[in-house]
Amino acid sequence: MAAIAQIQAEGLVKDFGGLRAVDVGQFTLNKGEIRAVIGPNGAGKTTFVSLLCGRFPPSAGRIMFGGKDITAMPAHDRVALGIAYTFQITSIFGNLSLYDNVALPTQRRITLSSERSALKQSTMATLERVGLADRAQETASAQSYGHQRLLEVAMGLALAPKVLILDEPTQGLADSEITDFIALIKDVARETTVMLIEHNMQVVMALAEQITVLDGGRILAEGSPDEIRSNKAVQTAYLGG
Amino acid sequence: MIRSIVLHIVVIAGLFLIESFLLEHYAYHHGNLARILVLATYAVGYNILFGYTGLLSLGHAMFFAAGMYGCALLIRIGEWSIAPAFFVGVLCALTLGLIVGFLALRTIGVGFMIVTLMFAQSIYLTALYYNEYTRGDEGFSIPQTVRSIGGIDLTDPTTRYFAALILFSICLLMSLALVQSKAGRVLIAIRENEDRTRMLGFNPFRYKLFALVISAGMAGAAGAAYAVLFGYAGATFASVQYSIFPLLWVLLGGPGTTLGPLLGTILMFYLVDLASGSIMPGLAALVENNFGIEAPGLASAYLLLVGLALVLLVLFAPKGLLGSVRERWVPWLP
Amino acid sequence: MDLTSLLPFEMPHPALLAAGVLEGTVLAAVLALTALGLSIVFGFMRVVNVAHGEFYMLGAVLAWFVTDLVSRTIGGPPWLAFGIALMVCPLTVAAIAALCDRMILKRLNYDPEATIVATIGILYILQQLALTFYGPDARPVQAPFDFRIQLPWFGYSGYKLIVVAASIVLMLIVWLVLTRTKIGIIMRATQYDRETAQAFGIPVDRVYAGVFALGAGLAAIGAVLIVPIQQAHYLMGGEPLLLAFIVVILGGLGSLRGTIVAAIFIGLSDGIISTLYEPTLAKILATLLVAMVLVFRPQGLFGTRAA
Repeated sequence: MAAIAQIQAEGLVKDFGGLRAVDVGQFTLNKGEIRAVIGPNGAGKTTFVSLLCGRFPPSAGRIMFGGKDITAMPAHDRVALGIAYTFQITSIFGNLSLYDNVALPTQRRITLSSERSALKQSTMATLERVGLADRAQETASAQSYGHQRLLEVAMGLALAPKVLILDEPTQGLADSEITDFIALIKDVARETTVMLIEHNMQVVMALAEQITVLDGGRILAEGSPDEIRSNKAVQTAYLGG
Repeated sequence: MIRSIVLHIVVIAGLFLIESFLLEHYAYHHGNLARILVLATYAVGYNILFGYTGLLSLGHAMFFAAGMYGCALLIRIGEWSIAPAFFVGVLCALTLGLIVGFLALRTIGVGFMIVTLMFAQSIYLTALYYNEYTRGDEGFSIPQTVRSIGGIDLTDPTTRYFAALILFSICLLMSLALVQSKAGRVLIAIRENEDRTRMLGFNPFRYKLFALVISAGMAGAAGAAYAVLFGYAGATFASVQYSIFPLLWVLLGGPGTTLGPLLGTILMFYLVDLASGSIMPGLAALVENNFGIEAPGLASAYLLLVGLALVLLVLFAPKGLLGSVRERWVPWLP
Repeated sequence: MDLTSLLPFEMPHPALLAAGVLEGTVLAAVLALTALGLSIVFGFMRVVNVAHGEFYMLGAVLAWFVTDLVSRTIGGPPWLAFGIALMVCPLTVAAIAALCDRMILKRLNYDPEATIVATIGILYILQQLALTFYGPDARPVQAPFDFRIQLPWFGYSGYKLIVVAASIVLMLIVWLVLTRTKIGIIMRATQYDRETAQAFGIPVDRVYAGVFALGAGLAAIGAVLIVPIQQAHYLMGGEPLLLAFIVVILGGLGSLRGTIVAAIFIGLSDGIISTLYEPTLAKILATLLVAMVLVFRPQGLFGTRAA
């Protein structure tokens, strides 16, 4: 089966002041794949995916989604189109219940069948999926760090996105939680394209079909896990840098 | 859900039932409460923006004044009757809210506070500038003879009380319905974390504009009602002070609670009333007798109270009374 | 043919215009001092001090008390009483401001919105205190000296020109302190990164209290200088607060250079306009301009965008 491009970027550049944070020549994310973005700290990973989901505008370049130019589209419209982003720093609504946290992205999706029961059903189903259903009425900020990360992922899932972008989702999770997380993402990937920024190589190797290595804002290498493992440039960047 | 509706019905019914009792035994408080209900309506509107959406406006008096002048000038100069003038007044506030919102919502935080302050100041100055029509700070009164709707005399204390209660109840129930709706959930989410809300696919600007326009509309309705029910319109109501008052009432009662604005308005009204009625003159006499300092200003020290209340609330009770009640005892309080 | 008749507005008499420019210069000088205080507090602390006008008022009211007390007890020439007031009042106001910072602002962790609400509270408290102990009347303070400078059209108060000169000198001193001395470096280090500054042993709390006190003190100096020209009144803080806001925002929040340029611009135009034309209309336009600048050019008209 020929790969269909889900997200494409051309000549994407982001400058902060005089600093060039991202300078990605050509980037393609194919439909249905699990892509990992790795690279040392300060490689511009978060900035790069933030450009894709529209948290800020690029300094130059073009972004296409499913063949449509979305470069000038504001972030919230991109979400409506199907690009979901979960934050690196846990960014949940701490004062609200888990239910409300997930109901919010859910209600975006089911505005047409605007019955409360449909909203409730769908929200609870998402919480069930990440294993937080029994805590639905508890306050988000009272949860453990691992549960907050899961809630963050649940909020992304609740949008039923075409592309789910996860920014360091396993950071700070315990080993047992990571195993559950890998299973969850594998399950999600059956219907969604997944792109994750990840430091934990165990997670990367378990999940990724393709890996993009960023260094100094540029794409250093791209390929399958095996290709990346044997790539000289990557080895120097990681081991020598 | 059901609990909170019942609670609000009970509060409204209570306000309805005490009317005849107050009129018979405490005519003074009867008059006060009518005024408080109108001002509390203003606070309910303010709370939608500040308490639920997290936008602190320092210029809400412009919306109150837009309603007040929109209505009162039509009655005074255009010789309109009360009902259409009232609606045009509300419309003025809504329109102003839309315009100010479009501009001011491009800024955030402190910028938003100062922009609203400046817009309100220019409206206040405009009211002074057109002194010929508005009579400036002195204001003008609306004659008793025209203050009636379809033969119902609004200057009668009981009618006036119920008119104020109806207005307040409508706005209170509207705010309850709003905060329990899906749109309300988005507003609260924006207050808690605007960036996250955007990344869940909501356009914060649109929702904030919506909240601001509703808020301005309620402020305008309160302003127009004040003109109609108490027969007076003056530029004082457009001054900075009247932008600070709803902030104070809401802070005291509990920002982000539907009943907080009412509670805060009642408490602050009586605190000031009590203070200027007995406590502060007593204090002034005390100071004069013991220290030999004449302190005439102390006798009507509402400024001190307002100032202290603001400082103490923001220092020690930023959630206000009902906010603390919700936190400790009644988690379902809307 | 008189060309001025073609102008869309009536050309004022040159004497009136000169008077307007002079009055404007005096106003601009005092305004620049006051606005500089507001700008420093915002620039270094990110605190919008709504009570700034009341510190100004307090300076003026205290000046009346001090000169009154001195002339009743010590006596002596007017310049002695005024000189004492010029020393004592700004220091007293600065001390009160430092107290406000310690007792209120610090406890709020300098949260921008909470501090605005708190300084509104301080505004009312100070106003009430002035009303209570000073009363509702406006009272004059005698100028330290009384000589007139003869201009081609009219005599002009020499004191007013001294006010202008004193303001310029004071602003230069503040400028030098902030840019050339260790105090300035410490302030900027604190502004740049509070935690790191603390780690390097800078007493951040004291720096903050000091900056807030300096801001209030500058307003108070401006007020003491102005009371021989304008009378002291408990409600006199509103006007300079609004003008200082306008100046600071047009000049670019926190930009000292922009603030001074804007103060001269606003002070002069306000002086000329209020001498010659209807001032309310000018104020309406000025407040709208400020709002629009904040909306469309938040770095100010004269400031440059911070990196």
